[in-house]
Amino acid sequence: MDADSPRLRLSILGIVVFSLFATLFARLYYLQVMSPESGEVEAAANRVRVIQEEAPRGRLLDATGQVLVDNRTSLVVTMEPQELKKLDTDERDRVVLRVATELTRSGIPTKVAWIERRLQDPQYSPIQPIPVAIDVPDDLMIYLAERADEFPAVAVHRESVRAYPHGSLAAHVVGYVGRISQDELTAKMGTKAEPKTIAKPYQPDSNIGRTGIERTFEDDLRGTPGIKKVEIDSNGKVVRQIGYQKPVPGSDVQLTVDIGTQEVAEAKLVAQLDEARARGFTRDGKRARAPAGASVVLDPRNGNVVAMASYPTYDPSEFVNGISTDRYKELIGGDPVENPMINRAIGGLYAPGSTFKTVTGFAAANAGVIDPGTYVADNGYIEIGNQRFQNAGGEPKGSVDLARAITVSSDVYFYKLGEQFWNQRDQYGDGIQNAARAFGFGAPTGIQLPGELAGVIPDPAWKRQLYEAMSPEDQANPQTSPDWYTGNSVNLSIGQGDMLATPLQMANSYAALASGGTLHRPNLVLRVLKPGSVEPGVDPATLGVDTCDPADDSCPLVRTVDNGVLNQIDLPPRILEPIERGLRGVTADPGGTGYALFSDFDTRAWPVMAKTGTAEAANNLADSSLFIGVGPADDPQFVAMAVLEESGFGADAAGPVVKTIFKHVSGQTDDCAAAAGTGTSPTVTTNSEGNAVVDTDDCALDGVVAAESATPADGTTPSGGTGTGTDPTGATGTTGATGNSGATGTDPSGTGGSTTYQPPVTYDTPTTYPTPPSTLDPAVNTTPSSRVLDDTAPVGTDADGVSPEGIVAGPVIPVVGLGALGLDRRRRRRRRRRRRGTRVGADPSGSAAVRVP
Amino acid sequence: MAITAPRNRSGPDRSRRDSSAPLRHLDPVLVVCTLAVAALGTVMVFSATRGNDDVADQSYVRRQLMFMAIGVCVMIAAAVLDYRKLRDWAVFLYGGMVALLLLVVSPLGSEAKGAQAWFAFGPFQFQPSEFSKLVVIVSLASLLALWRGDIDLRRLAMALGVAGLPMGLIMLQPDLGTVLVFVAITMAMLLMGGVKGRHILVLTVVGVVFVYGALQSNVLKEYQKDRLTVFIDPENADETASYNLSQSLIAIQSGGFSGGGLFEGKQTQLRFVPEQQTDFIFTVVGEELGFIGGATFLGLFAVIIWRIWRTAALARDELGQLICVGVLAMLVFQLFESVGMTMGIMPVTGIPLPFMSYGGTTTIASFAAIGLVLNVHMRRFR
Repeated sequence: MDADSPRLRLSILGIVVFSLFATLFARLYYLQVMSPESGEVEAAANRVRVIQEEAPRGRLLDATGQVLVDNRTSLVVTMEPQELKKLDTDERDRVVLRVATELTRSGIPTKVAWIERRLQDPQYSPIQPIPVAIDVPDDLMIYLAERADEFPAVAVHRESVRAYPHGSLAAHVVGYVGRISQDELTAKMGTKAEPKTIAKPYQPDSNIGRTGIERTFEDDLRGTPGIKKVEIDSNGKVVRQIGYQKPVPGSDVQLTVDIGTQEVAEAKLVAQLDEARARGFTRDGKRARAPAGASVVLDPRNGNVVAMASYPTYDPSEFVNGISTDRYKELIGGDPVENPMINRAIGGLYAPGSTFKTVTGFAAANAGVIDPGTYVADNGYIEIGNQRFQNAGGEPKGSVDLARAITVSSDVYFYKLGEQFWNQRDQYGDGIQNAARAFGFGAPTGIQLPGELAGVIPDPAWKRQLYEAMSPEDQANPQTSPDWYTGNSVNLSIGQGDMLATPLQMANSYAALASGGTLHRPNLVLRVLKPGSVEPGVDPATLGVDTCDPADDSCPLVRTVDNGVLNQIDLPPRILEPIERGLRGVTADPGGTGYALFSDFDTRAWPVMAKTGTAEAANNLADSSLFIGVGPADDPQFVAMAVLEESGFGADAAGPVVKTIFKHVSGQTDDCAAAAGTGTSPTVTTNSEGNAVVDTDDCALDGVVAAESATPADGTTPSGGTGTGTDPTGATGTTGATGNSGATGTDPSGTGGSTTYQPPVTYDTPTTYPTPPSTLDPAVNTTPSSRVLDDTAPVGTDADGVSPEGIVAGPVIPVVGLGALGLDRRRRRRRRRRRRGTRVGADPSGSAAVRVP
Repeated sequence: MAITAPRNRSGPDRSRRDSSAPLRHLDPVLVVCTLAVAALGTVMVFSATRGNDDVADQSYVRRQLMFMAIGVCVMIAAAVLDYRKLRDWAVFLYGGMVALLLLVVSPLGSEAKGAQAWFAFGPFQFQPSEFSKLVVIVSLASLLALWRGDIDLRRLAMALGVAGLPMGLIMLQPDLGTVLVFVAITMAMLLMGGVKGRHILVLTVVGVVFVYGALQSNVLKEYQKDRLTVFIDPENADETASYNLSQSLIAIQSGGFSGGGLFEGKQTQLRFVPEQQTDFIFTVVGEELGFIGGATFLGLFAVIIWRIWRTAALARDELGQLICVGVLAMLVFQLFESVGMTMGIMPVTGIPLPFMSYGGTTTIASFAAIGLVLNVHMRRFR
């Protein structure tokens, strides 16, 4: 060995090492910089497939822990359109025929044509498996699995689907789930070029919450899919499973809704609408179509929604495994007023009518337009320019202060406030509108539901905008105007004109009064709970969920939900006290518009603050009936509201809904509450048969309504045979039950029809107030009201009895879109304003718009 | 990298330097680069094992940090004790190693992934084959240094026997990856120890023929040619090499120039690449840190290798030089195989990437190897 040997050998070693490093660098550079996309690599990637296994969704619980929406396992047969396309025509037809045959043989009658229709249904993406049958028996799954090669493109798999143990109960709140659409999938997962990584990935046949809580709490309810990694060969056959991650069910969501109260609200809403339809006509002689309605129950202490009902409703189980396009069109395609998919509690817009008077009253007292204690003379009407605005029925209410004006629903008192607000606008600005905004009108409340509308608070700027958006022909119409007139403010003061609100907004404005000024953002969810951590029917509150740490595995809680506060209204006692006194009077004072209604309700034990509302609808449709109640008045825990479209006066149609809800929550007995669970209304059949009245009257025909509707049948005495019913002053006799507004030319009362209607209930004359036109003793009239039907003709004939006599009754009204479709409603409003002419003075249509007593 | 060995600076002017202060001659570059690679490795292990849950899984990275701490202690210990004493202990170390390798294939050892290579102590495992590499380095170095380049066929056979016995025992586990590391170590040390060039050549030819023959005899079907590991490395018999390789290539390619970002690698975070925290750890670097990260890592590793090579050139005696060459061969081969296999230029076998892969024994053994090099570096003057 020569002396250089070690050095030489080290150098050789160095060269070897250097070349190895150079190789690595070169390879790395080649892979990452030179050829970022290589076909060879793409092909390799295709050898591995990741199969997602959908996890069950979380359940929906009610406030007490009862399961409102559950899951069940269903066997679903699907067909893959892409695979079908690969077959030749004969083969394809044979497969479809065999599937139909096998389905029919296993007890699911299926026609080939039906399968073909479903395969062509544009609702399903052509790249995802299309369900052709659900809930197939196990035998069929085994049969098909064993003959997989005879049934190409056909697959059967177990799927966790929604189950609705309470049927359609609270359908509008819970919503439904459906297959994810291509757009939604792109929104969630990104595009192929720009994919997004999310914790709970979707695939083309994933389900997603479509509406309601299912949609807004999608991220909680959706389970984490299981991931199965398999290696496949070039034929797409699974060679082996490489990895598996179990699916994790989604979190349970506990709602604020109470199933019992919800059942009562829904059942009574249906019953009252049926009853209104059965009567056929409202008290002012219009056709009562009663197509739709809504009811909301809030807890004013925290804004929690105890119940939310909307009619007509739908069955969310129809959407399990996909609803056909035909059926969906059938649901939504008819008259919008009958569209069951709209949640009218948040997506229906109604004029709040007299229920808005609390806002006007607050605005006036707050701005100093009038002191709440100041009395105003109500002569039954006021004149502004040459236009006359009158009370409902034109009846004078005498001298009223704020509280009294609310109790008896004096329009004139509020007309005057509206007029002053406008006349002294330099001083007060848009006082009423600002108060309405403070009480949550004019903007979505932010409840956790999609599809909420903002409503409209009309003001001069809004009116001008509306005008500018009109077509030139409309603008040329002398009845349209960009300018705001006194009449607009006058109409607004009683919640009419262009004022529109959702039932939820109206209920929430009363919740703000009940809570002393806190306007909560209505909340539908109490808690999000860990999957399956609460046994069905167990109230999570008993498990210490409010004290334990969500990080702790044994704690069922994921998080509590609080939707926050929208506004804190400064409600000084000098304003709040008279408003509350006035609202209490509605049910407690014999002059109150809801006094008769609440005659069979123990208001001493459970005092109720309430307000009736009868809001005019466009196109000579019957009035919307509204009623909002707050109870118990001393410590308000419930605000309940109901609105019934084209159903008549507030205390007639909507009032009983609220009363029944209050009977339920206060523990007072009510047969309807017991019958509520059935969800059916016995009204129509029983009445037309004229018997079995006992079954119906508590549920469908409460007190005063029964009496009133019965009265016209013989045109004489209402009840009890006292003979006092033939009060000659009956001409103005819609006394109690309405806060109807004035400036409309559509009311037929001027034709004398009102003589047919007598107030079945009036009140003692308090010495401090001017004498009302009737002197009947309430004790005589109210008590036997439930017996009235026994003595009179069945309700079903009443309508016929009414129409020929002088009343401009029930012209067939052109069907117009429902307020729920905000735009449609607005368009309709525009037309109506033109006809009605809110303009004062020079407007030639003004005289036509005036209701003359 | 410099190829020529620098002049040996140990001269009479320095011969009286205080030998009691070898720490003054520590190689800081080697220490810093080693720790940097190890730190990067820890982050990569975390990325590969944190999982997809909201709360990242820290169990692996915590253990890896603990292994590193132990490794640094072992490195210090290996650097402080004079390496020349190892010559005296080599026999005992070798005997102990053989005993452990025998024990591990006995029922006392435990099996995982098809290889009986571990002793289990509660939650920890000890893999004797990792340390046996160091013992063989020290043993061979002692032997070759003793012969001072005068190696005839008998001595060559003896050296091959010293290396071959543990290799045979490891084959029993079986762990072919580690055996291949032994082959690399032995070849480099024989070259450096003065084995004649023609002997080296013959050895190489014999080795190649043997490996090729082994391949042929086991290849039964065409598609298995792609899956070299099916017979080379039974460790991964439950996964196919082609799957590993394709996923690994997808991962590295998708990294591109600047990488997908730390913790953002889809292949990595979805655990598409098997063994990505151990043998395939480089895919995590490639996918998440891209070419920049991969090149930086290779650069750091190149500096480490350069410092080891330089230490070999500076070493005061043949023993130190041979130890350095053995360590160099071990690290270079493991790096080339582990990184090369993720990039599809080497067959897929289970070899950990030093300082990067998750694992206690390999991390500690790698630190110990660097400790030996530091030891040689510190004592290069007397």
